[in-house]
Amino acid sequence: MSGLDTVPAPIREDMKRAIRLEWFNVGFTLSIIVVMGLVLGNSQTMKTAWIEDALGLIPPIVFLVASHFERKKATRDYRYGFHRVHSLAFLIAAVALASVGAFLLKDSVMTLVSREHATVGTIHLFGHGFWLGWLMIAAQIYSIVPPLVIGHLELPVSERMQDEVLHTDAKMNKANWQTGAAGIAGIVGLGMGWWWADASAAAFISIGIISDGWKALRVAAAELVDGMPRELGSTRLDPEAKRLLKKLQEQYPGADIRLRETGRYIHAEVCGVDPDRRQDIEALWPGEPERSWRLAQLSFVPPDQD
Amino acid sequence: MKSLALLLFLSASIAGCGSVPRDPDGTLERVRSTHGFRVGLIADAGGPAGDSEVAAFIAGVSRATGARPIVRRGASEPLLLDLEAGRLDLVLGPISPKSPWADEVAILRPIAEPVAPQHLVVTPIARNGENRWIMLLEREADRVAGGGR
Repeated sequence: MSGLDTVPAPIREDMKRAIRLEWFNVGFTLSIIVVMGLVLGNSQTMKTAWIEDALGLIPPIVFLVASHFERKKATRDYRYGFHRVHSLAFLIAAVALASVGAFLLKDSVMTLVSREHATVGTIHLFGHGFWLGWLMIAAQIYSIVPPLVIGHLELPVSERMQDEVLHTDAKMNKANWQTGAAGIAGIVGLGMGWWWADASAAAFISIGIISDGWKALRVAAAELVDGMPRELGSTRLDPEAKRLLKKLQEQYPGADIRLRETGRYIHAEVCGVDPDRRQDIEALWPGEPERSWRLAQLSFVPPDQD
Repeated sequence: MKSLALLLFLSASIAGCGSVPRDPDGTLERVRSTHGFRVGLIADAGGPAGDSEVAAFIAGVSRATGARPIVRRGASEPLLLDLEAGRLDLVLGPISPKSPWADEVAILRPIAEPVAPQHLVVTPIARNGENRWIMLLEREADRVAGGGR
């Protein structure tokens, strides 16, 4: 069956682009971790942003690992191939995103409750003493730009590839640049003498990140327990899968139709009918023809074996 | 995206005004307006290893703010508690950066050589977050540690 052992032709270019983007992502994130590490000081906000940047490495790394496996053919020990590695990668990325949100919320609430006043003192550069806050703002601005650009570029590619890991990484990039913006607000607030500003901004942003992470976790769990395919980045049922289900129900009345998702692919099972050898899997796809690669497998379970 | 642009504009505007950072509890402003700052000297802050540096440091802060020091001596624990509660503006004495107080107060750069036998150094300690005041203290600490008077 086409699309089971290799990446389908219509998304091969997108796959190459996604891999390039993720290598850029890893490189820039490492540079951000170094730059932020140099100006951390005593600011809790900066430390939190630094830990989040480090956690931000998880989705691009798991994407690169998963896409490496996806391109491998089935082996003697893994006869179904490695499409499910993508589902596992998605779960890991979802946990990372949810953790970032939870970490940010916990940290900002603790700061507000304990009325923690961050000390940001002086740094000496070129023979002059500067408020370290200015360097922190410069580092935060640097930390905002790569995730803003890379996340923006990842979104359309993830939609064309139906790639939940890449989509979650785009969300992680959004979380990172928003946290960077909250960090700037925090440092500016500290400069104005408003000790509560950074923690309040961070708490506000963390709610959106937790919501995205929780949604991704639910979809990843649904995928791992063979639930109906979900819409990209949402817990709603995938409209293409719903149309496929309806079409199969019309073609095989009375049969039990089961659909599940392994990574970006849909597997369909028609239970209670004999194998239909005339069936054309590409023609069966109810959506746009260029996305017919999504239906990777159609299996039949005869009535006496169901 | 608009909010990000607004944020950057706000940062640039603030960068243009010279009064940043400000103290959340207005320590430096109060010191200047009342012409006084309250100093706690940890009992063994002076001695042969740190007396002259402590005196030079307090004199420097006094000159920079136009305020007179109100000094009292005591054990470290009650002085640090008073500092944390805002009843003191500055504490001077030997303290380890690994002290449990390190998260509760701002331990600045040392101004004197290690005090035997624990090899602790005489260090200015301020309230956390009073960043403008802390910057002034750091400047004076650098001056004293660098040998300037």
